[in-house]
Amino acid sequence: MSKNWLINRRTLLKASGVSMALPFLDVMGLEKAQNKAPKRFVSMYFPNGVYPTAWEASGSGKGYELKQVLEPFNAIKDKVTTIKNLDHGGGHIFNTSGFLSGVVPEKGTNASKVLSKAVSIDQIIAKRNAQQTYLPSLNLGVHPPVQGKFGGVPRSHGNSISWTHSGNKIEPEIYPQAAFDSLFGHRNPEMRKMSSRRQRIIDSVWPQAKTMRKQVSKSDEHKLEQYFDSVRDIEAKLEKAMNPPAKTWTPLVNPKISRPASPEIPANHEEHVKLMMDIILLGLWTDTTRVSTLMLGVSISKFDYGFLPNAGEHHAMSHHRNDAKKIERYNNISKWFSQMALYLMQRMDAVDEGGRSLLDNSAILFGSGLKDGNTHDGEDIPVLVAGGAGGSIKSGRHIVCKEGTRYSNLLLTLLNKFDVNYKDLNETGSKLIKELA
Amino acid sequence: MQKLKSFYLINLVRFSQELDACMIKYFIAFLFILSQFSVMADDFAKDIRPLLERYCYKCHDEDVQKGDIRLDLAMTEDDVVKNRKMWLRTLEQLESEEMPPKKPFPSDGELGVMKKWFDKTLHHYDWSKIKNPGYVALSRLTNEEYQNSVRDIFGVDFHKKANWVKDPEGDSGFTNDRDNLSISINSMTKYLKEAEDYVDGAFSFKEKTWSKSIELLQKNGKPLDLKYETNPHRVNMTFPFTGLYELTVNVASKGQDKSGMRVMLNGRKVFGETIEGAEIKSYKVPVFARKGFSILMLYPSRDDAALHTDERIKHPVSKQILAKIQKASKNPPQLKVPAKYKNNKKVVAAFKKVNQVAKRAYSSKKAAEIYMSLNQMPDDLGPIQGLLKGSVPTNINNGRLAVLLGISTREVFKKWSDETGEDFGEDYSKYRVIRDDFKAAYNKQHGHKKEGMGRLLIKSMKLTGPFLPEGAQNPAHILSKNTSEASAAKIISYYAKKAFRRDVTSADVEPFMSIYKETYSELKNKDTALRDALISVLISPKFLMHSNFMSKGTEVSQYQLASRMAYFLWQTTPDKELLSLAAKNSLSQEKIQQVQIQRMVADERFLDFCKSFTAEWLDLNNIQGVSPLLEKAMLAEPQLLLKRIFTENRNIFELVNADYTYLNELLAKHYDIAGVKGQNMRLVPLNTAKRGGLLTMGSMLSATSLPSRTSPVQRGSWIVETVLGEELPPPPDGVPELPANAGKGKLSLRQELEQHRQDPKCSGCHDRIDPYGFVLENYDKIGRWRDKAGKKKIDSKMTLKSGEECNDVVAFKDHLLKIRKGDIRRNLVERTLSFALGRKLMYYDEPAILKLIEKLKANQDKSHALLEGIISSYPFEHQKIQEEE
Repeated sequence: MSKNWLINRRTLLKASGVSMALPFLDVMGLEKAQNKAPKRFVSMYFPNGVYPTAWEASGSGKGYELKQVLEPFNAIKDKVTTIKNLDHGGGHIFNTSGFLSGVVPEKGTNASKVLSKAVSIDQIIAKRNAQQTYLPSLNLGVHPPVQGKFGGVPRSHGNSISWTHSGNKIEPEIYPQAAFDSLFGHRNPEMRKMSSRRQRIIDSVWPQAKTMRKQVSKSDEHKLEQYFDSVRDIEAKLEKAMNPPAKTWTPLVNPKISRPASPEIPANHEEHVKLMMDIILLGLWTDTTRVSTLMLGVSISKFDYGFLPNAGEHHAMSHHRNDAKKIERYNNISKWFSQMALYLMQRMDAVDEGGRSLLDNSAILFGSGLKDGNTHDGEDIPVLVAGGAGGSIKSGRHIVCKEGTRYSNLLLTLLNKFDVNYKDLNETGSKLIKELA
Repeated sequence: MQKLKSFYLINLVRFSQELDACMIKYFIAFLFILSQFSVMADDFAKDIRPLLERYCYKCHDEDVQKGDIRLDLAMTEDDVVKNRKMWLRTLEQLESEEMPPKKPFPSDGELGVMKKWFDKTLHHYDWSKIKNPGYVALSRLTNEEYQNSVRDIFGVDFHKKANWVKDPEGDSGFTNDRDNLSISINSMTKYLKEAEDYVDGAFSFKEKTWSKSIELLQKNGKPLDLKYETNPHRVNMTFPFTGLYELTVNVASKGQDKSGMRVMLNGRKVFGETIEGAEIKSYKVPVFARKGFSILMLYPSRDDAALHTDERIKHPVSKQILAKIQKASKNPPQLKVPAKYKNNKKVVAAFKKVNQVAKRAYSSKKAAEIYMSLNQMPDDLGPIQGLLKGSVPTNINNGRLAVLLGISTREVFKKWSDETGEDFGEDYSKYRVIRDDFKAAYNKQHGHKKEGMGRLLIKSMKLTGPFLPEGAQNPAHILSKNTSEASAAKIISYYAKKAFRRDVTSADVEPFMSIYKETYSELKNKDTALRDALISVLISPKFLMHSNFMSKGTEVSQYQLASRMAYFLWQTTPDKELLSLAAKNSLSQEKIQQVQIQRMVADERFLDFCKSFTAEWLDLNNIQGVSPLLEKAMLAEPQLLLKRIFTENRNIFELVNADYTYLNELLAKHYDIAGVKGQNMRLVPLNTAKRGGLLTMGSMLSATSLPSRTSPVQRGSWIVETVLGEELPPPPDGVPELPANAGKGKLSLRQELEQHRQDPKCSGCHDRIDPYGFVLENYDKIGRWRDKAGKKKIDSKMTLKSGEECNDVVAFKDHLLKIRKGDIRRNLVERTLSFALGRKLMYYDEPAILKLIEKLKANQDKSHALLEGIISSYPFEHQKIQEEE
């Protein structure tokens, strides 16, 4: 491999212009890098389902056809795999909370308890890669969390698709600047200087932990453990800020890294979404993280897409009651999600990682956990996988599974592509999808 | 005992098709409990269950679960009591003979047996048998509690609000629901950052006073003159330390009486004020800033100007007008690309762009003309927004085109009008006339003048720090005693006691002292060492989490009680007085509690309770179509009403009807009440019952409206759920919605709704909801009084299913206070108790609820009885350490 991509620090800083003056030491410490591009996992979720017939894919290879809501993906048709007949369920809230865990609490069970044991696959993959990158996973969203109850279920369960091993719901970050800082903030020299003192401050928690663990009741243990999880999380970050993990991959070309100027959310929604995607791209490109999720909306999103030519309030449009006008608006919103997803996919596809693009090295799970928003059906949910997961997925195909196939089969299969060979995911009775080889 | 007549929806079972999962969830939970009881054949098993089996299980057993109701799970009387809410509904169904709907029907005798048994069990149960304070989960502080607590630990409000994601609302309906507050994995990163800021801020009071003045003059020496919101003035600033500063701006409004000014620090709002008068005056505001480089931006801002604006709501242009506009704008003038540029891509592209803009401008112009000819103001300014702003943006593109063509802009305009016969960009005055005519027509139509906003004249600004707000304690008094290791230990203990809400032991302080020692030995700076130690106090689980670990017994410890009281009534950490009473073991004494409650409700921190409780109880998140400052006033109104009722120990039913309310000038104008000047909210006596009480507040009335119209259904459900405390099922699937423009045709909104709900599938619930909405139809979608909707006279008569009638809102309030008094009282008791406990109420809270109701009744419904009753209640003073499985 040619070494002309080795740039000195001065050039790099100059090239990055107004961007943050970052010590790129870790980026440039590449003599040790093995330089084998890693696999990345991304999931983009949208709520409220789609109009059933508008998510239209057929054929395979050259005959692979994508229509209506899927039409935008024709631009990268050979890098997309659509899968039919995956059943999920769970209604509004639990289709969301279970989008990456496959777990849907049954009626009458204690949902919070069930969900506390349903780890999402992004977190499984993140844990596997935790030692190799600075940030195990970057979990973002674009809507503030919702509150209240829906059909007796706390709506807040539908605020996240990412759940940790200890049953901790990860609240997606919606502020672009904060998202950026979670990736690159530690590179700020000032921050580094503080790291050892911060480590000491954080350390003070452990002597307290011992006595507290004894004092706390059994029912409260998991709450206390959530606290300690977040302590471990910052410890790992501080440790890595002090001693950056040995790079196993150094990008061929370094991206320009500039911090979003405003701490607030951009007024223009599309700009917000794209900004979050740009941040995800930076994280993956620089191998600062290998796992990212983006919620394009919270469960039962009532976001008004009035900025689109013919759209409207999402949830209301999803309850189209077969009114042609509403269906059209519903489809326009759905199609916009596709266009947004395509934006990130194309940007990832433009990053060359030595013969393969960043997209080729990734698996992007895009879709919704509901089929028809009107009926809350969970059968044959609209999902697709973009990218080749480092050559382990043959894309450009439409896979038709047997009717009634469990959606968690896809999640299990994706884990498999990331070399996590579970027999079953979260006791959902899942099996590998053989066709997705 | 109170008879809960008509307390639960009569037709709930039949029409609810959605799962009330919560109900079922707990129902299942009770099944588990069941196993712990020895199942004995009691009256229920012997006499009642067989009847249920015969008449109810056909639809409500494991297999069918119609309406998601299962009646077959209960085996004993205890099971029925534990799922009381569901069985109350069942009893109602039996009493009203709504159920069973089909044969076989129970005989009169059988029905009598069932009714008698359920009535006895549900309404005359011996609650003394049950003693269960309920399990309150260990939880972190809410964001609100965290911010208030840090403020009180240091004694300084740093005016700092973290960009944290909002807390979710739990099953209780409140964000302080302990069960639902989890700690996200990245929380510690955020807590650490906040703690560093706060501690640095506290230390900054040891700094020498720093001050920087900035003259903001134009080149000609006159003050800075800002007109456009979109063009802010930027000031670069380097702050010498992290802490609280005071920003002083010397500014005046130019051209109009009032202007609005906003100052942003690094993209976040730190200052937003109405600027009044043409004379330069000083405005001051506290600003928290981090050490180092920052950017301040200043600009005129309508959102911050207390202007009486035309409160309008966008909604789609009517179809007919839209069709007219579309027709009229069919052939927009288009410039042709001159032949010699045909192959010049840049020029072709520029022409295309210009033509696109022209198309929009043309359509806007036509829209404007059509509205003018109809002599009306559009609700949605969409198509003519450009014109109303007075900016047809063609000039920019024409300019670009001119550059490309190498000719003057004037020539492009000329070419345009020659070729197309339309003037764009040239004759602005014409559009200005249209725009002004619009304004005039609109103001005439709405009968009031829209206040204009002045420009901003800014002479100078000044930053001074550290800034100690009035009444704050100076942290430097304590921090400057940091002269030795021993004194550091004292300081740490002092703050740890406040943070942990109890006396601290040396074991508590030990981990922080070891940080102090290590840091000191490394950096040889006492303050740096103390700083790091104090930061670690603020990230300790003993501070960040509520104090569930203090007592192992059923009775909560005195310190826990102090915390419970403080977080209930103040949303913050207990103060010195509460802690010292706890230390003396006297906080459980009734007399002392009474004195403390009186002290606490009179304290300004009590407003924090009023804010959180009102906002979440009343669910006023959805106010739309009013200016931000009016919205702010609307939201403050119910908070201040509640505050007065509690502070002055007034009658709780003033929530429904009071002869006073709280207003500022904006809200008073909105309500058409004269004589209120200025922007501070103040007590205003009312001489009309059209206002007063929650039901007639702008906040509730607009939060329950749609963007295009009022919604009697939403207003009705709000009353039924929020004020009367009933639970409504979601509407069944497959019901057509009422269109957004309902009521704009031949029929009034009410008539359309009445027609709409003739379907028996709907009328069951809507007969109970809609009348409450109809009676409020005199208030428009943003809560202004009206006698007509469009040209149709408002019919606000309300007829209930029971045959009772009210002619208007005044009679309606009387009706509620006469007929539904018990329900309103019970609802307030339940909500307040649930908030105080930080959890959803369960069946075993019934004795506490009943006791509170009796206490209120015995005290003429004076509010202090409620607070005293809650704080001395069994669940408030006791705890259950383990969750029931």
